[in-house]
Amino acid sequence: MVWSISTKGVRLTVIDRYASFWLREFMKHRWIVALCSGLMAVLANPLAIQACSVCITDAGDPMTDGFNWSVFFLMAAPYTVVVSIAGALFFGYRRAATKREQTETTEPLMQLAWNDKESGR
Amino acid sequence: MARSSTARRLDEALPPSETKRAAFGGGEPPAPPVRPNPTIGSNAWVGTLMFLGAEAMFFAGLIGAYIVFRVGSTIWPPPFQPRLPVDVTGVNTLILIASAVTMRWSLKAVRVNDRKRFVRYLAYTAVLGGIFLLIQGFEWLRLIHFGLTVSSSVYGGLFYTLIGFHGLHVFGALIWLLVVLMRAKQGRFSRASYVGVQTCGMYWRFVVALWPILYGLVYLY
Repeated sequence: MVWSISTKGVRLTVIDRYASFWLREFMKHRWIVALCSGLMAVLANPLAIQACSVCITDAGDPMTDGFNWSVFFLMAAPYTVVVSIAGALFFGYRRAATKREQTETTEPLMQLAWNDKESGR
Repeated sequence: MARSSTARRLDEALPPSETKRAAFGGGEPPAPPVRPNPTIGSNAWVGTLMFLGAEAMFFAGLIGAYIVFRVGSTIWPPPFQPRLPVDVTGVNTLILIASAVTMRWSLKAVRVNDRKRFVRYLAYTAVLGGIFLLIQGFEWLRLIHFGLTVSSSVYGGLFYTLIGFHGLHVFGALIWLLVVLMRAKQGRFSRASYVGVQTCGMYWRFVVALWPILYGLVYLY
């Protein structure tokens, strides 16, 4: 195994042709490299990458309750906001429709302009 | 006559047979006038509604963070931290709620074109909002004097973040309200056009409605 310096930078050259072959084949599949890197990260520090916020505390811990109540609250918040907006639009539409019905009871001006006598009927 | 069987665009000119006037004896009675669909509100109204939804989610995030620490702490407030002024802030809450009432009266007045009452109630709202902010500022100064700062503890950090952002919103709403008041004095609003007052009123009522929730959570719970 030797180090060589080229125009592309420092490169590690593996003398052994079999090892070189397998390394080249391995690097062709970069997703395998990424997966192996992620696996190594999990094995190195499993606590830091846990997605569960309450897994770091024990059952009955007040902090667990705090996380739980916060999650419940934040889960309900978008629904509350969407329902409030939908309610405002619904009642706004109903109010506008009622107002329209009230104005429709009056005779339109174009109808008043029509004169049966002059039209020969 | 394929023309009559096809739908006509709204902005397209009527064919000659339909434009014939009946006033000189002849022609068909005119078609009933086309009425537009009922409009729920102006674009500004809908936009403000969406904006308030985003604001509600912003405060929901802050409240969520507060709940984690508040429920997660066995002793609250932490030792050696000053207690919050519940009574004075309770009175302040009533003042802010009163400002929402005067805002409502102001909107009622502009809807019936009563300009004098409209301006007067708008001014009352601004004064009540100003009083709320002054009392809040005074209480904050006292709390800082007693040692409750942003960096003193989680308690202080959460208090100033949550209540501070609300105060900032009230301050913004007050500036908006003063602009509306100035324009109202110039006679820019009437029964036919008061969208500026309507959206300002929506925002004001939002910050007022938010305060009792924050007061109950931070001061009483």
